[in-house]
Parts: sequence; structure tokens; C-alpha cells
Amino acid sequence: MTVKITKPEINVREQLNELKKPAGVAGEAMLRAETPQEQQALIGLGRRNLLINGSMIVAQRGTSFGPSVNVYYGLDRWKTSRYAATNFLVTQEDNSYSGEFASPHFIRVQRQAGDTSANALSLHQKIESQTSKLTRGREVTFSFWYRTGVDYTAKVLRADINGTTSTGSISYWAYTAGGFLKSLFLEPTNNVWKKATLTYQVPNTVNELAVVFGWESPNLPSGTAGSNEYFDIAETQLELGSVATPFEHRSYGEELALCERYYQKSYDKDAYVTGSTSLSTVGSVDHYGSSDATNVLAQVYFRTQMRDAPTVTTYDPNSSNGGNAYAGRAYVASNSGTASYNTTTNNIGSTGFRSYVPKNGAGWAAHRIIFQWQAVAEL
Amino acid sequence: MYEIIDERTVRRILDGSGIPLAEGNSDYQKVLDDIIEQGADCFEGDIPTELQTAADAKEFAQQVVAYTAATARIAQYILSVGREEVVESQPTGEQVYNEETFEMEDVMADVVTQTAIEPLEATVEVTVHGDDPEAEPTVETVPNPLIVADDAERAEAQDVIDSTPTPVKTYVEEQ
Repeated sequence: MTVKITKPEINVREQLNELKKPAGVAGEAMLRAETPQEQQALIGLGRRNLLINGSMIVAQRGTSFGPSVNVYYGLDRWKTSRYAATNFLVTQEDNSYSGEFASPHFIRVQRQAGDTSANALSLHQKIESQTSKLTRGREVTFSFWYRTGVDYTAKVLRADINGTTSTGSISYWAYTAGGFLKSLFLEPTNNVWKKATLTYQVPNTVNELAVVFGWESPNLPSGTAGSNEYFDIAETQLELGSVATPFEHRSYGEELALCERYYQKSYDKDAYVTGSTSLSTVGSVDHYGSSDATNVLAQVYFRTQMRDAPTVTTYDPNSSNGGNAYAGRAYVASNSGTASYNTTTNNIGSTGFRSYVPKNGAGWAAHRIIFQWQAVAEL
Repeated sequence: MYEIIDERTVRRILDGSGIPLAEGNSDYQKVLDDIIEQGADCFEGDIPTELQTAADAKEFAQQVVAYTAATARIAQYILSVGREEVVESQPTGEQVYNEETFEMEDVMADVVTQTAIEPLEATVEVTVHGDDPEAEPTVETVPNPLIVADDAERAEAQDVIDSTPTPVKTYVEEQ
């Protein structure tokens, strides 16, 4: 029996043309990759950002700082220094969502209106040595969104990748020892957001890296500051490789846990150690001592293991005693009344500490110690 | 000001903070810096021996780094003097048989181990524009700024060397 089969005609030329799909360099590299690992490396999936709180979302210390001191940590992991002048403000601002970036916040560093000093200023984040060493002998790319206010007077906004072969402090701009850097000088943007990237071949001797923003001689501000002399920074990312990939969004909880390795507090999330205003007892340590103990003592365990044994400060949370004015103290209630007492804090390690108030003689038959605390293990 | 709480903790009197004696704690490093700079003035009572020892060790390490950098800076040639060529006779890797001594001997060749560098001009001419935009600019002769900077850096390095204690110099030279 003969079976007759018919098949539709095929235009071989058309089929070949279909194979000529437009493929960019990245697409071809993906096709050439021989393993899923190679493909993943090309895409750069996950855990790319070496910076912590690059989205400026975590603000455990508060959302508005200045202008009383010249060096301080504002938003988590970001430290601001101004040389011999204090008239500057640091704030966490809300994204107005005009389409440039997706993160809900950005950081603003502002020369206070009316300020006439032209001193250097830097906003920087140091990266822990064990993370910095990942970049030894490799290219890194620093990317971020930025804009400057309409009253910005410095000729440029400077952005650096800064590093040192030792450990040490950043003295406003440069590491004090063994330092090297690569700089980007950005034109003022008149309140328009722009994205910038900076790629750097890191020396294989690097021990600690940092990223830095701000103004430095000879590009300093001039004259009397207007009300809009600021620079804004958003979505900062430092990653391995020569290409700036899209910003890696981490959840608030994830970012907070990363920040807590360097800073923790007992206060509720929107209560901060600022000024001498009343502070809530929410979250505070509240401990009853036994009547025959020598000290009224409380042991505290950190939520996250800290980078190293931190500096610990207790605060009296009583409504009339709160804030920095009552640092190093605790509220004690006993059968002889209530009062604020100095605490002694010791046994400090990366997982916890203890604080106590020596028992005040026979007057304390029953006693209770209450305090808030913060622990700082910044670089 | 600080005071000791126990063998592992210092209290910062300003805010009552407890500072652990942990090398990685930046406030502990500040305690050591303050002891180096202010001595006993920054402490209530005597400075504990352990802290004083740590401060001394930190100061020694800082002086070693500063002295090493200063001596390296001084060892660089002086821009206003330049540098002479240095030629050394070095073995080429070949050997020939010496019929008089009956031994194999290295073939030697002159190798330039340091190239000569001419001294910089002591002065340079710069064009100076006055306040009047229509006036002709003038040419002035000034000391070469590269030489000025070189001399200043060398003087600074020499000051570091002169002020470095002898035990630090001895330590560096023995390394």
C-alpha cells in the first residue's frame, strides 16, 4: 500500500532569517556561557551590594541631625564629618517618585541656611575589612543617584572610592594612613536627579574600603548659604565588576539586621536618643532586684551579634529625665522612693552586656531598675 | 575623661558609657589616643598598667609607620640636585673557562642600575594677569613650585626623623 504524505512548503531562506535574531554583546555572552554558574555570574544575581543601608531606609538614630557637632552618624552606617565647622544638617527625605528611582528615601546633606564657613564636608561609609578584602585586585563599580539644590555653591559634588592598606579612620576625606582613592567630580544639577557610576581597580593590598561624598578644597562652598544648598544621595551601590547593575533592593528587616551589627538600641523604632526630651519606657530594660543583692543588676542580650564589643550607654527613661542629659543613668524605684542613678556598665561583649546600680545601703529593701540603652560598634 | 571600671571596661565620664577594652572598638582606640596625647590628664586616678602598655604599643607602632615613611621620602632624590647615573658590573649568566686559573668564571657586563635625572630649573616663568582685563599680562620669574614642594616635604620628613625616639629607629633599622 502506498501512503501519500503532504507537508507544507517551507521557505528555507525565511527560516534562516528568523535565526538571525538581533543579539547584543550581553546576549551573545549569555549564549556562549557553558554553565548556569557562568550565566549567573554574567547577570550578577543577588547579594551584590557591598554597602549597607545603601537605600537610606534605616534610621535608628533619627531622621534629622545637626547642627551642634561636626562629626556624627546620621542614617545607619553613614557618617558625616565637617572640618572645624558644625553648621550642616543631615536628614532622611521621602522620595517624591518622579520616576528616577524606586527606594522610598534618600539622604540630604545641607549647609545650614546663613552659614558662611567654607569648610570641607564628607558623607561616607566605611566597609568592614573582611568585606573589603573581597575586592582585592578586582574591579568594583560604585553607582548612585544624586542631585544638588538650587543654592549649591561648590563647583562640583565629589564622590570617591577610598581605601587603605591598613585600618584607620577617615580624616574627613582621606584615610590617615596607607590611603588611595579614585574620584568623580560631578557638575551641580540644579535640583535634577542624575545617576553616576565610578569603576575602580582595587589594589590587591586593600584592607578597608569606603565610599565618600561631599565637597573638598579647592571645590568648597562660598558665600552665605541659601535655604537650598544641599546635595541628595539615593540608591548607593558598590559591587564587584566593571558594570553598574540595577540597584539591589533589600527588605527593611534585612537591612535593619545588617545595620544592627554596628548599632542597636532598646528604644522603640521611632524613639531616638536626642536632646533632653522625654523618652518612652517602651522597650526599656525593667528589672527587679532581690533585697539581699549588692547591686540592682540587669543583663541584656543583643538582638543581633555585633561586629565587636560595642560602647554601651544607658539612659534614664523617666519622663522628666530622658535624653542625653541623663546618659549613663537609670531610673531606680525602691521602698525609699524613686531617683535617677549613675549606672556601671561592664561585661560588654558582641552578644550582650550588663548594667547595675550599687545598692544604696539599707534603704533599698525592694528595688527596681529601668533603663534604655544604645550600643555602638561602628568602624 | 575616663575611669576604670574593671579589667575589661572603662567608663567615659562625659556620658557614663561603658567602653570595652576591645581592639576593634573605635572608642577604645580613642581612649588609647587620648592617653598618648594627654597622659594622666585624661584619667581619673592612675592609668591602669594594661592600658598604658596598650597606649605605648600603639604610639610605638604609629612612630614606626611615620619614621618608615619619612626615611623613604628622604631617600628620594632631590629635585633641585637631580640624580647621577649608577653603573654596576654584573654577571651576565654566561661563564668562560680561565686557562690561567683553570676555573670557570662569570662573564661580566656593565649595567645601568640607576638612570641619571637632570635637576629641575631653579626658577620658572609665569604669566600674571592683573585686575585690569585690558592690561597686558606680565611675565614673572618665581621659584620652581615643584622644588618648593619637594623641599617642604623633605623638611617635614626630616622633622619626623629628628623627633623619632631612638628605640623606634633601632627597631626599624633592625627589620
